[in-house]
Amino acid sequence: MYTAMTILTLISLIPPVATALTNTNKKSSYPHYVKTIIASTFMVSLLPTTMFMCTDQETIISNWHWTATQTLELSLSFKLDYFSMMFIPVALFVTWSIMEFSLWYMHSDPNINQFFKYLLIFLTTMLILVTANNLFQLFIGWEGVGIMSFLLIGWWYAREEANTAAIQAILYNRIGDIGFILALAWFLFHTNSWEPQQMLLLNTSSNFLPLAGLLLAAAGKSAQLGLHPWLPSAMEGPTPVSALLHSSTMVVAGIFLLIRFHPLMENNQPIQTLTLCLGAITTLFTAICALTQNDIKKIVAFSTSSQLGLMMVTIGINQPHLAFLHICTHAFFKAMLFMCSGSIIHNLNNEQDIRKMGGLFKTLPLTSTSLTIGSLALTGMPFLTGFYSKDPIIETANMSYTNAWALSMTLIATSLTSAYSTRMILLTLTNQPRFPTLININENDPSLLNPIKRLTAGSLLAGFLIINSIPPISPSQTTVPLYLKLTALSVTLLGFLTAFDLYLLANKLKMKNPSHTFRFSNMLGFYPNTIHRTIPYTSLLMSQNLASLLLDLAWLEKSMPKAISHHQISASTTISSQKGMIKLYSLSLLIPLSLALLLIV
Amino acid sequence: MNPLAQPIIYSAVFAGTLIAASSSHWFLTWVGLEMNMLAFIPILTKKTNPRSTEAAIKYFLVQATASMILMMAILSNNLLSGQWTMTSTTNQYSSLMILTALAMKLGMAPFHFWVPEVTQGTTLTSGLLLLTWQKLAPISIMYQIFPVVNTNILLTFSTLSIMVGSWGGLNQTQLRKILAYSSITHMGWMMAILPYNPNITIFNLTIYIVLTTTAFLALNLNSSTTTLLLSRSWNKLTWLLPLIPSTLLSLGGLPPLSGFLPKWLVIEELTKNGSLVIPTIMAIITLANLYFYTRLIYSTSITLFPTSNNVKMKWQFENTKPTLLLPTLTVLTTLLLPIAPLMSPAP
Amino acid sequence: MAVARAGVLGVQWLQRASRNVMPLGARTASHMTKDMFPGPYPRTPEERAAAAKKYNMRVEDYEPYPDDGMGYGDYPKLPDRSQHERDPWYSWDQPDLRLNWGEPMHWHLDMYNRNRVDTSPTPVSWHVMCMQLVGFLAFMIFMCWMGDTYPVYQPVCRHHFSYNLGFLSALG
Repeated sequence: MYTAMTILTLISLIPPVATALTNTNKKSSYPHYVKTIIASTFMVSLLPTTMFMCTDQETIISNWHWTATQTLELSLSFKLDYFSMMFIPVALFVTWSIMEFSLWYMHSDPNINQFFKYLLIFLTTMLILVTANNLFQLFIGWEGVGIMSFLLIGWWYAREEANTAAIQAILYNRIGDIGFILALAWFLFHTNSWEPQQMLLLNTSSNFLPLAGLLLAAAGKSAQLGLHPWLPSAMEGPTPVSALLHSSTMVVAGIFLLIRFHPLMENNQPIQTLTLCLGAITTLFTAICALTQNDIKKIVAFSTSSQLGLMMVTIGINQPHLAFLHICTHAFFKAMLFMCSGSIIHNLNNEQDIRKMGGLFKTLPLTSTSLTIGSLALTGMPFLTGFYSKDPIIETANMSYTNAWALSMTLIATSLTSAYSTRMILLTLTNQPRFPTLININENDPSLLNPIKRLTAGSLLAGFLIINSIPPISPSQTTVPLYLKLTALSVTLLGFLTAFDLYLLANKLKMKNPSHTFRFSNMLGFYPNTIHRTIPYTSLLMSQNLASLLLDLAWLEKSMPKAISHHQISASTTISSQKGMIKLYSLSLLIPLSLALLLIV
Repeated sequence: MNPLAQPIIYSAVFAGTLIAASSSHWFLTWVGLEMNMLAFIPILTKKTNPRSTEAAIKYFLVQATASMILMMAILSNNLLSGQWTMTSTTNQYSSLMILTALAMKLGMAPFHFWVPEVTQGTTLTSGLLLLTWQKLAPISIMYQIFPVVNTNILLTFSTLSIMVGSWGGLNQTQLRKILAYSSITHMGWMMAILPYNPNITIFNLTIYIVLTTTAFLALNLNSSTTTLLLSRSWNKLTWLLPLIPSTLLSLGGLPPLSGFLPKWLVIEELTKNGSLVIPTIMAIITLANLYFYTRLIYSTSITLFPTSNNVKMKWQFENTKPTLLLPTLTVLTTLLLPIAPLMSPAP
Repeated sequence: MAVARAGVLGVQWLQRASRNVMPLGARTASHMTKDMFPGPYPRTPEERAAAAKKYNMRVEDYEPYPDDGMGYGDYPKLPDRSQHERDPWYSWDQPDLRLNWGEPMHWHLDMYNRNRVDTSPTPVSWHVMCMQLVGFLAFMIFMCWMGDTYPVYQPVCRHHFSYNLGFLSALG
């Protein structure tokens, strides 16, 4: 029953993809059709999820035999457990809103049909990824998400920056895929199976190597430190793409992979430590980067990166359910933040610089309200959606027997989250307008208003709903001292107040040559500037020299063709230049004959 | 040449070869070889000029030396074993000297120097006889004594012949010299397989004779002796333009043509006998052969050399030379591969 | 960098070795006509002037690659700047490459096009950037190692009245 309903959910996403070329829907346009399909799919998917939760099911696995190689049996296998059943409606709900928002944002794009098809395939591959019960199927979804993100980030392909961003995204993901394929190969080699259940049975003493591969894969997909620069660059894509990419698809795929394989990882101390430290450094680093950005989308992008680091930390302290909870709650307000910034950008005639905004709370009241609510939810304001996931995470981290430095980094990053959110709100919404006067600001289009309203409701309520349906075993309930309980709130407030104070202070300051600390934050920690120059320079120069000098000049020319022709010519002239003298002929008889006779003596 | 002398001379040449080939007595064999050699000298000087005289003398001296060594080997063998029978050449010194003498008669490296010189000095028809008929007698002797020849020395001679033939031909524009060098290469191929499967040698010789005859007859139509002259055949005998390339490519051993057949068999036989390095070297170096044939084809059939206008009037003159054998030979030269199973020698 | 330099040295060694085996000749690589290749290295001022004219350059701007047998010939050695650095607002003949027709192209133009190596100036110098990044990461890793060596914990206890399974944990 659940299976049938869920499969129905997945299958109903296919007709729009299939009919994109046939244009059977003459009356309503294709984008509307896709949006309606997603909306109805969301409704359908609510049913199995509700039943699943109410009847306290554990896991439903459906297997269809697909193919068998000599020893390995591959099956088409769907795993419907708490994670996938919860994620499907969330993803569909968010995508529904994003699709509707795209109707408004992309209405003038000539290829809008294609755009919707891409978004739909993007979503479908993500759903394949979350429902997969074997690594191969998961890999299909994984790669599908990767290639669709490439196509969507490079949507405005005529712009060099969009191209670069798309290439960056696909390259960083390929680095992660090295890890994924390593894990695939290792599991195939040592457990002869790609199904997590069998791996878990056979692989009691978890090996470091495949798990490190999975961690690398997750770091690539979820933009952890070292593989993070593609995420801010991906802001070159259209805003709906950023919203989808950062909320319910793509970037959470890496975290999701780790959640899926958490049973393998939970007893492996080195991997846990690595995950924790990687997540902690990422969350702090990207929060620092977000502090001084002036591009509104980049601020939101870095906040995503920071939240992904937080999810990684949660996995590092063995709380996959909390990480998953944060994925779900984060999807709502992050999609909404992107929509709000999209609304602002569109209304200000493609202006993304927050220094050229200000005073928008009067002209764009709904957007301003939603932006504020979203930011507050992001910072973990009590009883908004973010609070229900962020507060338990920090609380659990606080009371774990764990790495103090990682913990303090997480706390600092939490504080910085509220700081940059405050900065963004203050600069965009309050004070005097700094944008050009002759701009036609209008936020009355229902396809802009409805999705934002829906997601605002989601940002207010979703956390409460989801945390009430979480299996009660996982986040262990503990009694903690008051100061520990209030840590998360107090650091958030601290960041909030500091940012507010600094903002008031900075308004009255004169222009000053920025410090190195500012530069470090503003130039993304110098990471792209150094790494993106050194590595391409080295590899391109080396390959150019190898190809054009070593291969072309030395091997393909000097040592092969030239040497051969040279040797042939000299051999030929030596052999055919003979004097026609008979005594030499006799000599030529005498010498070999006597030599041969001597030889066989 | 005196018309009365001509039948006697030709019959002596043919009789000499037949005597040498059909005898199993060393002395009679030697007599046949001598007859053949002496009768061939007037054929070389059919057109009397200093060049042909020089060629005849060279031929005489070289062949006489070879005969002398052969005689000495026969006598020493007889002295040691008391046998005149060819198959009982048990002494290895004698067999080595016989091998050397016959290699010299065949024009194998390193005794090959006379072949291009002599061929270049005579007419095309005499050259044809020199490069085909004159090989019969020595090869038939080799065929009879193959169990006693020294394989290492023979393979050395063969490989050297192939190298010399291929590289020597690279530097030539004279067609008769090119064919002479090609003959040296082919001798190398024939002799390389002799210790393993002498039937293939005979088969190789047959194919070689067919191909060389075709080539010589085709050249003889226009009396072309240089690349330049050959390149002018387009306005006299247009039908030569496809014929010469196919003949030459067959001579070079390009797969779908008849000339590939003996090479295929030789390589197969050698590999079957566990010899891998020598056939590889042979096949690679013979590529140079194919290269200079392709160069001839290029100047004959593919490009049009600049010529003066009176050259282009040649098409008005009727061809008077007989082309009786040419069609049959051309078919044999190019299309023997499909019926290969019928004629390939027994293993 | 070290790898690239080792590669270049290796190439030079191979070329010297191959030139000892056989003398240099004219290049005859297929599908490139001879006039598409750089000419011989200019030695006299006249040759330099001719080469500069050939590449549409002024003589004072023209500077060939050093004649070290790497096959550069008379190709001009242009500054190692990426196309990304060029003026984005100028109307280039070839806007995506930011090139004008007939303009001399860098030998490694493929490397310096707009989405590969970027050489545009940065407000902070290269060494400071590297040092700060490496310093930040090193500090973080060191502190993580410290934190991992000396973990901390807070005084907590199991929840006594958890709504679902709390009584189980309370029992045992």
